[in-house]
Amino acid sequence: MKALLQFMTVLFAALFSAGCASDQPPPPPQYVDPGAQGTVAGTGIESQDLLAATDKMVRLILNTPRLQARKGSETPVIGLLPVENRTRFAIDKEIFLTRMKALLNDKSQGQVRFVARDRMDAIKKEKALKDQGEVTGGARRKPFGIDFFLTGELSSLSTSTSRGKSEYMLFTFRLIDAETSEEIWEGMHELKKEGAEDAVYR
Amino acid sequence: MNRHDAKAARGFRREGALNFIRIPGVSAFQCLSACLILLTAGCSSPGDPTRKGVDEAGRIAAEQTAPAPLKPYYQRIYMEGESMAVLNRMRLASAAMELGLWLEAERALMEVVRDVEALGPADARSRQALDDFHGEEVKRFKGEPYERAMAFYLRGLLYLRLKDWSNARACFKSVQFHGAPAGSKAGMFWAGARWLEGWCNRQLGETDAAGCCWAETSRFGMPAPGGRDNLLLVALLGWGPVKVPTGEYGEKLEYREGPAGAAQFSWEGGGARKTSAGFDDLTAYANGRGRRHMDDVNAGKAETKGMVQTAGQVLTVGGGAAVLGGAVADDATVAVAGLGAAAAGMAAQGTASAINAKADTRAWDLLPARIGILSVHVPAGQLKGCVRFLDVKGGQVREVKVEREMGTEPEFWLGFCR
Repeated sequence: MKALLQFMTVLFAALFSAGCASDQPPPPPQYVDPGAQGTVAGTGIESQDLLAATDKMVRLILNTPRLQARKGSETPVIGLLPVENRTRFAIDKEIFLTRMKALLNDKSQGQVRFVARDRMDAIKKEKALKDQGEVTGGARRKPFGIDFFLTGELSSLSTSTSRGKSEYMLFTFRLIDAETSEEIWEGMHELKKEGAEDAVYR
Repeated sequence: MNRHDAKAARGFRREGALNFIRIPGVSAFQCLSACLILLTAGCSSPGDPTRKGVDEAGRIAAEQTAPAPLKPYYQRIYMEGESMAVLNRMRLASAAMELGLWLEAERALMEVVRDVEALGPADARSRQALDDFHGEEVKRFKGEPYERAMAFYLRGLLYLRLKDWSNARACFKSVQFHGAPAGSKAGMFWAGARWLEGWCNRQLGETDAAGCCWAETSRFGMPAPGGRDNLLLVALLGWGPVKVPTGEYGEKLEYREGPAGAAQFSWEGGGARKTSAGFDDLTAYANGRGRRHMDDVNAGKAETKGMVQTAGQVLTVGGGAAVLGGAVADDATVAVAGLGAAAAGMAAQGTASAINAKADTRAWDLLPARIGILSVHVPAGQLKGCVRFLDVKGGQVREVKVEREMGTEPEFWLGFCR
């Protein structure tokens, strides 16, 4: 009987201490798949949405006949125009085009070229130094003009009901002919997310 | 080593390390149990499931990287843990904005917005708020709709500072989305936020959309700005709503106006003189939000508490009377039955006192009572003017000098007056 009592006491103490595991220090930061849903999930634009949308757009752009037809010196030059954010989510708008440009540069095998218009000041300074003979180089080439602008628009429809929240999002991207304003390509990615607020927060 | 020491040493070897905690009359198992319980005593405080976010705040405070006036706020995030992290970050953001520490405010609000947007099941500790024996305050704070909306409102104002019109517009759209609870029929409409959404639309060249916004706000005394207005002034005025527990057991939540302070403001400078036409009144928004699901839960708990308490009182009094009656009549059966009833009654009263129906009164106490907005046209170049904060009766509370270099783009001024 005494042994049983002792065993029960120790078991109780051990069980009691097990409940304190939650106060243990958290594990160190770890790498997670950017394409997977995070632990804090809402109905907003998340990394997996960005990856899915930009991967799809790049595939579509590379299969655009108007781009495939142009080779060699005619390789199209693409410039970036800021994405318009019409959703109710504040985001870094440039992140879509930044990833698409990196993917296109990586995957297109010279099928498209980009110009760094955001670095024109530095480029002009360097050209000036070359032209003045202060540094080597200087073939007196002009910066490339843009053949097509790549831009996009992020839109959303938000609904809130007693059952939860719902978000429909439409991401559209376009290639616009810089001479004629013709849209030579447009692709879209749509998604819908729904989620319910826990009863304690309603 | 004498014989006694040698015997003791052998005993130590034989009985193992448990012997060092041996107390006469108490077994090793009992000692071990006591030690385990003592070791775990520190865990009896309401610990949080995770601390990954708040530990970062603790590091910032400890490493002195936080600006001195904000250090207490970072320390509070660390000390009070995850269940209070959202509220403490809200407080940090407000304090940082008032001090003009914009980056700190942006960082805090970014985390608040992330947590406010999160959906899905709450953690196990927060869900205890639904059971009878835990008050609502046990849940991880996420704020009431007006507080959640204000996180987006303030974030939108910070984007306006940066002239990031589309992200500011996104935040002002979210104000409407979060400003009313899901499924509310209250038709909550934050006029100031819609007006600012219109301002962003106009800067983005979307004049039709801007017109739609201002057509709506004009019904609330906030007409469209002048076509050439190039200076936007927004002021956060007074102290925000206070959450007051009412009802017999504090189960009802009421929102009352905070201490009286500045109520409106005026601009004078650059040939323009104007008083803020409209404002967002946070107490009105807090009260107009409709009934929460948790109000029903707390009302149910209060009802149970009242019923159990009444039953307990009846049983205790009745049992006591039966005991007395049994004693007088010399009837042991009645006395014993009365004793049982009284014991059950006291147990019921104990249970009733353990039922916690209190509503959550934790609040973002650094919010303003009102948000005043006005826009004027001023000439390009160096601008000198002044903002006068006024109380409800129009008396001047404070005056602030404003200097701006006006360029081609509209400028934004954000002020605070309690």
